[in-house]
Amino acid sequence: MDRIDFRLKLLVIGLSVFFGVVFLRILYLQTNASAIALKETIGQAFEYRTLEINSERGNIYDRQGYLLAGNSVSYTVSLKLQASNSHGEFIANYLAPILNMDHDVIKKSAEIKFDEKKAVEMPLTNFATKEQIEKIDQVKSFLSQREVSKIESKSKAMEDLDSVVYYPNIHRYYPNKDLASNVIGFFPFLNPSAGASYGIEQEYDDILSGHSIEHLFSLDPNIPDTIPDMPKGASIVLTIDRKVQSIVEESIKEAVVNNKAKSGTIIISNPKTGEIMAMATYPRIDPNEYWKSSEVFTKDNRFNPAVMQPYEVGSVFKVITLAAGIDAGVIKPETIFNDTGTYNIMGVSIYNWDRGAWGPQTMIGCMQHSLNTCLSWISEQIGVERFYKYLDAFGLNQPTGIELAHEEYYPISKPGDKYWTPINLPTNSFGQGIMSTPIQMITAVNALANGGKMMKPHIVKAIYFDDHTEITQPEVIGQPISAETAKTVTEMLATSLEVEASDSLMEYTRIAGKTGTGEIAKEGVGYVLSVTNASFVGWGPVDDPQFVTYVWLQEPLVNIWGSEVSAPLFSEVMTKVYPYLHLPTDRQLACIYTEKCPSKDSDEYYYW
Amino acid sequence: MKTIQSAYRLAPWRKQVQNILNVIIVLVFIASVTMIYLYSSAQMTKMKLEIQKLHEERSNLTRMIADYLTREGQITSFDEMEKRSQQAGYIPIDMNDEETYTYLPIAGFREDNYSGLDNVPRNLSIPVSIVKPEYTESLQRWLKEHVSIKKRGE
Repeated sequence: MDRIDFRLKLLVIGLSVFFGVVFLRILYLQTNASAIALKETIGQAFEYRTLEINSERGNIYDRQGYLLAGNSVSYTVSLKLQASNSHGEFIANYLAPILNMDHDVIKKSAEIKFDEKKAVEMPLTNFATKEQIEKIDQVKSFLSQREVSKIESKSKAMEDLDSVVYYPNIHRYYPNKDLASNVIGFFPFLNPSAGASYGIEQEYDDILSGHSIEHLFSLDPNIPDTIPDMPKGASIVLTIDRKVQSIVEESIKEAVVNNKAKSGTIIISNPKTGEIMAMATYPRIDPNEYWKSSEVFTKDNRFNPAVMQPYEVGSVFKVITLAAGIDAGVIKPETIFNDTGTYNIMGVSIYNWDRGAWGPQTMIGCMQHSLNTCLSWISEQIGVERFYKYLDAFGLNQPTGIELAHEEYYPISKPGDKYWTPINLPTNSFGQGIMSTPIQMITAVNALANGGKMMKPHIVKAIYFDDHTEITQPEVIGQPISAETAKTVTEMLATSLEVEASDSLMEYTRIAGKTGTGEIAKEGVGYVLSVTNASFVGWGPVDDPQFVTYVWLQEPLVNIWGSEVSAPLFSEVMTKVYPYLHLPTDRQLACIYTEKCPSKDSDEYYYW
Repeated sequence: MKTIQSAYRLAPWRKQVQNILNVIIVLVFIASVTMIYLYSSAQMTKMKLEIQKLHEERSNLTRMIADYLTREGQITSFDEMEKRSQQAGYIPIDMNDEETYTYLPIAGFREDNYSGLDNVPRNLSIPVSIVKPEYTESLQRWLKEHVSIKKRGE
């Protein structure tokens, strides 16, 4: 009996030790770091699936709410090679007419040899429409329901379209094609990871694209999970009006083609708010075919020259020098300058555009005849330091900060800089040796049209986030000149324009402006007159300016003069768009606010 | 002669019945727990499939909304509108003839910075109800969190 007891005790102890060891081992496995890591690795591989979730890209609208950039659904149609091999002819017969694709291309794709490691699936198109997919479904359903004869069942029973699969995609779409494409930029929907390029698309890529997350989905049915709410990217409303934009684009295209120019740019802005009403350039591309951008644009002909291409603006720049001279008090409208035809500095002679001598001229006369000698003299009167301070104050030595990607500027060479010489002062005064973009120029001229106050140019009117809306408020970025100077210069340039470039004048609305024909410096030759930049800046109505318009034709070959190509283009464009800017002419205002409506031939409507 | 008698608190057959009943109770308990577990698992799986299906529907709806908005944009695109207006017999007005349009003064009217913005469609987001934490966290984690909250509260 004692012996049995002993054996029983031994068994109990043995079992206890065994279970104790098992328990400790379990404890060890539960707490050991590498064991936990292994468990997690296995869990990641077999218990979870990682999915990348992207929210829909935000839309872009014009100021009236018309869609300029949106998202469209298309389908990727692919062939599962394992099932399509040896059925190429059959598949191609059905798919070619539906997808409008070449029969042989489909057949060849279907016969690419299946290889589990290399070739499993062959995409045929990324842009099949919903209608095409519905047709494929109809054919699939028809084939699955057909009655197969016994003979057929031996040879062709396996022939169907089960190898054809499709997946929906959302891709960027621009319904207005090339309208404002220079402003919008593009999103490369065939290669989304490359990110957006140019314009609003690139500048606001972060907020347009919304969110992108990688979510770990449990494959365990006991762990409920939902797809996180992914709000759509923000939508952006632009200040441009598509009707105005369209008219301006049509005109600039015609001007570029007719004058055989390299490119053309027109900007219309509201000087009181800094809003850009239209920014048209030519050439442009349809962003739905964005891959053509590399064929169309070069280093000398940028995607959006309005903000990306500084150039020597020529005599248009005289507006800035004149304003600086008046504001500094060194000249008055009636100040007389005696033009001898040359202005000498450090042994270098500066001539007028026609090499002529115009004799005694008032400052208005200087602008009427666009005298380089006179402007050189004005800059000397202003003084070197003060002249460049004015240029800084007009924002010409910095980017404007407009909400478009790749805005460029050309730093102004100043006294003390390596390449600055005293000749720079007079040449800079009439727009040579100094480079500006059209957006910089229009921003500076806005100050003349807005009582001396310079507004920040903006092309984004509002941004609609998921939970709030941001509306761009007009922002004063400086006052380079006094209100009195602005008024005086505007009046002077309205008077001078009537003589200088009567082709630029508008019927029934008095405007101020200045033409410019900037010679282009060629390497090893210097400035040549046969190749120019023809520009024009105009604003009005003179009494209370509501618009500033900048026109630039790059290297027009048919006619090189700003007064003969850009000035009439300004008049043509502004006459067309005026009603769409909701601006009454001076005559219409006079008819509204005075008892007697001026006759059409009268000049009195200018002074209502 | 001394007689030895066995005395039992319970009759052996009663004890056997009791043991059998105990085993049955344990089995019933295990079966009940298993049944509840299987039922809840099935419900959970059903729910998860439902969520996946709804998510698929939601994705489809999102795609459709985007597509319809863009189709509307396409139909109302500048070129299309111009084409349709020409087909309808409209002709462009002569901008040089200022008699064709006129302005009327409206006392006190001033165009503000917000004009035109009402025409822009707002972002449409389909609301998603998030699974409540009590459906996803374990009892252990719930206890841990609530105890730590209470401790922090003290």
